[in-house]
Amino acid sequence: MIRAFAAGVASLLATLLVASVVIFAAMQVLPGDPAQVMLGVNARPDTLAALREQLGLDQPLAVRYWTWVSGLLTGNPGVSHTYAVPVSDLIAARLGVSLPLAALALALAVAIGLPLGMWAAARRGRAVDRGVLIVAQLGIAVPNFWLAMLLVLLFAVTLRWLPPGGFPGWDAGAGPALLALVLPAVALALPQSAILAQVMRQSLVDVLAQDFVRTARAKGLTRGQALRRHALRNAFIPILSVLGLQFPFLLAGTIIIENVFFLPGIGRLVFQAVNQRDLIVVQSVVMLLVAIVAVVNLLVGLAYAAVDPRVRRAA
Amino acid sequence: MTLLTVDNLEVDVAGRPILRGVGFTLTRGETLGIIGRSGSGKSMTALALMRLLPQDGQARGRIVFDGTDLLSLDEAAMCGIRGRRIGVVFQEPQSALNPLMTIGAQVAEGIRQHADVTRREAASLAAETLARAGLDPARVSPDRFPHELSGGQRQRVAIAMTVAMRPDIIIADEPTTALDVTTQARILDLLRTILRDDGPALLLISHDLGVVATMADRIAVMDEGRIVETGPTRGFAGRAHAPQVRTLIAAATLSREIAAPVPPLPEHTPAEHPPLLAAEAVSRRFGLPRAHPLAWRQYRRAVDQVSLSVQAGESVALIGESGSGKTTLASLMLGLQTPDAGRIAYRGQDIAGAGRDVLRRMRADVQAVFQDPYSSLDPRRKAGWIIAEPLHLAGPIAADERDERVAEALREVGLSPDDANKYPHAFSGGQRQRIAMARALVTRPRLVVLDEAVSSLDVVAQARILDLLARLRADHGLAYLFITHDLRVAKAIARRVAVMHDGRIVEEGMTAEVLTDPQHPYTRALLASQPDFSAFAA
Amino acid sequence: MNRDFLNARLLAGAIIVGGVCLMALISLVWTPYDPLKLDIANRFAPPGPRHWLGTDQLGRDVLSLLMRGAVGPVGVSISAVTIGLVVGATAGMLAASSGGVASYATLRTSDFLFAFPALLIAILLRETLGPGMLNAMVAIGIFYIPIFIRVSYGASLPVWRSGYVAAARVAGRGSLWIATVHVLPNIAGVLTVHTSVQLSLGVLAEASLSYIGLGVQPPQPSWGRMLLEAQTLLPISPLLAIAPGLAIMVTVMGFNLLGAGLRQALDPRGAFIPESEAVR
Repeated sequence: MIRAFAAGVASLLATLLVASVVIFAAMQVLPGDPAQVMLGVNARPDTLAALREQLGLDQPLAVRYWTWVSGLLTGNPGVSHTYAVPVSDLIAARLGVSLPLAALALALAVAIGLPLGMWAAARRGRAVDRGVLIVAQLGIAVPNFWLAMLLVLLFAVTLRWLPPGGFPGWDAGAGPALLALVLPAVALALPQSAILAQVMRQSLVDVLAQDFVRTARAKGLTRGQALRRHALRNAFIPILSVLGLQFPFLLAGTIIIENVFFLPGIGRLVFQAVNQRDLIVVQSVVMLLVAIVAVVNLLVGLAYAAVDPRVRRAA
Repeated sequence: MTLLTVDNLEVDVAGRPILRGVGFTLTRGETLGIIGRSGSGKSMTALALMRLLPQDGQARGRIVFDGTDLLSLDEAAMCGIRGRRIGVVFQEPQSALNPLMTIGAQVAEGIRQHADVTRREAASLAAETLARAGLDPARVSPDRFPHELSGGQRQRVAIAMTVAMRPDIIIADEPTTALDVTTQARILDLLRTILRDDGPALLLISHDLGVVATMADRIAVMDEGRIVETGPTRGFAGRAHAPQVRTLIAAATLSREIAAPVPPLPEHTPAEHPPLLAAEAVSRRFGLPRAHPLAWRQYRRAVDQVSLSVQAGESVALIGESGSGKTTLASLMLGLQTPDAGRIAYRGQDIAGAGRDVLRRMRADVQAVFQDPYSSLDPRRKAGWIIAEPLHLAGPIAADERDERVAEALREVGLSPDDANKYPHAFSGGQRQRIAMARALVTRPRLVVLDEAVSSLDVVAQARILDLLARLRADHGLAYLFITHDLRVAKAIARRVAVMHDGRIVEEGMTAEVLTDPQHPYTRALLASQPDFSAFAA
Repeated sequence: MNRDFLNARLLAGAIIVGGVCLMALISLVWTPYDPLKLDIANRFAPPGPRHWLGTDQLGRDVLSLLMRGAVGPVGVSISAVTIGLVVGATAGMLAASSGGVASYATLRTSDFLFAFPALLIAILLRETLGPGMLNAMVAIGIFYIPIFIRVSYGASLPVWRSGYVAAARVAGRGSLWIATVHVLPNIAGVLTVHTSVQLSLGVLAEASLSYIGLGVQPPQPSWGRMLLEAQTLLPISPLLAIAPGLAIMVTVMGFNLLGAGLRQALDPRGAFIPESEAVR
């Protein structure tokens, strides 16, 4: 277990190192001079040069990369050109919206998808099973931002139960803030739960057909006991890997959904920063997102090892 | 006293008839062996007795156990019978155990299901039963997981799971099929001990006549969903009259099927130097998975300083169990892998440094047939295409000559030239091995390496292929390197044998000498594991 | 589940996909109205005999917009999957054949690429390629590469280790022959099914990118962009949001049905594609 953890952390660090180089390099080939963008086309050359110097843009590439990375490591990657505040403060504030949204959506997707999938598998081949499969097919095909619009149309515009968008901030109390996150989270969660339901159903059906379930029945276990004690735990193994694979999609979905609901999260931040050539913000946010994906992959790997003794030994 | 009476049992699965009018009885303490080819309905009989048929399966007839018709019981009552009164040991030790549960917990689970015991009592009873099944707690703790065990150990767990509840009947469905012969013999010993100590009745289902003949008091032969012959084991061979049974017996004992006995080598051959193909002190090791990324890589020697040669016209058997390195050695000799040390010589020339011409000549001269008939033919190519694949070795060839060579090869292996236009899925396992043999013969080779080429076939198909090999050798003077775990097969085909164990050749010599007077302890163990047909044939 | 039901999936999928592709092609040469032509006097016209689906806030014909709007999602999805398929499937197949360092390097690169969602790639590439269809194609295409590496690696590994590949080597055939004559035909079924399923994902991804302004650029219509423009008009004219959304959903379902039907047709016993793998 400790070895698996060490190996996972080592590969995580390698991934992050390579990612930082790739992201930094991608930023450098962007056309357009940030200083020019900030000061406008009529800026005088000496003002431009002064600003460049202030922003550190006159430094060699390697030095700028090192400044950025060492900043990342100490938790302060730099100061945003446009907001004139430390990037870490900016990101922290925006994460306060994006993280709760992603967590809420993930919890909802699991809470809806897994029971549906189990229900279908337990009644495989019957009407319930077909119904779940058809609903899941529909759910997978729905673009989440469109679903978000339809939800707004129904619950905000027509019924007026929930706010159509915007975010009151956590200072105004948890209630209104959570209320503002309900529709975005549902819009994100429903397509995800359709995928989870499908995978859960198939995985459970596959496991139920395996020999050890028959062995359990031959010991005198009832159908339900064999399902609960033997099939379910085995069926969760593919779910873990699907959760890992889905996470980047959830993150990307969060960025898009924030635009539908005008939520001041990471997604809005990265779009504004790209438009304003706020390189330090863009590269830091992208780095953060990649790091989150990589950490989630590591956690999924560890969860695998915790559930499956075969992986525990091999790793 | 009759414990179980099966009367006119009929089973349909998905509307297709599987069992037809099956009837037999089982008395207390008796062992009944049910034997039959794959697909004869043996396993379905076991599942029907347990009422564990597939979802779309349906059973009719009567299964009277201890006075009650099991087919009339409801599901809850049946759960009280399963495990408690009738236990099953299933075929695949690999997949019959839950990979996520310790073996102790899996044994304890059944105990707690039927007896009113605490978790702790169940655990200690489970540990006791595992020890009784030959899993010494000091070496194989009940806290282990199935994947940490060998195939034989897993089968012991499966047996422990069943005997822990001391059922009246144990159904063992192919309990030793997936195991090596020496392991198989030890598992059968364990079953005997349990029969002696606990006295349950045993329904032993197997395709292996050797297993049934050594274990059973009575034998029932199944064919196409029916029981075609029953009787006491003693003298069964003499009394049997159904034609299917006679074929089965002849094939299993390889008595009269091998038409051509091993012909003596022509006088000049031993003098031939250098030999057709030789391994000279070859070694091959494989890297084991690392414990962690910074660990030194550990290696396992699959083949360790092995020398083996095959003369033209000679047939050599390489005997060994799974993991002995025999398949790796075959793969080295075929030039499919490169040895870490030593050399492979074709007519005295090292193939590692040989030019293209030598390699082409060797490929045309040395062909191969592999173990699994289901994976050795490309499913997307027709038989004719498959057989013609090596023909390019002899240089460009015209289409009609190619077709003629394919047709000739097909006739040679006892198939029709029309079969060239069929895809592999249209053939049975035995026919597929014939196609693989035709592919090997099409270049008119001098040597064919047969890697477990008949092990996955049932005994009848096996005997027919061996028959074919004997005839081809007689007709063409072919040499064989026959790799097998089956002494019976080696005895039938080879003039010389080499016994491989843990990557080394431990004994080598003329077949007759090695098999009558083995020197190495491992060879003796192998021989001792051979089934004893004496009572059966008496 | 009976066979006919599953074959119906194949048929339904083929009809939907064929219909959408045909519509996109026709729209390039003919639409009922010029989808770019504004007619402010006639804006927000309800559906009727002149404009079957009505007009939008600038008086453009919604049906024409919808037809031309298919070009982006369908075109981008097909080109992106082609990039992923050609690069990924080749790399995966070769990685499976070699083992050792090359295989390890390919798989690790694939894992690394997978940490970048298509959206991030699109953001990173936006200024280099400029926002637009090319950006969307390349971004989604790069995102597909690791997916197809995994699919093709997993499918071809057992083929490379099969008896018939060993037999081909004994028959004196080289790796190139084996890759093209034995391996590729035997993984073609898996690749076909995954291609179809990934095409559906591509349509969704393109719609998302166009919706946030990283895909098809105005004035060219695209389903994702139409949704963006309809968003603020939601209380006034919900139809403007419903029509393109439905179009996306139906197209995505079409590709998914086609994939499920193909899997049933090519691999009835689920032998080479576990369903849980094929979902994505």
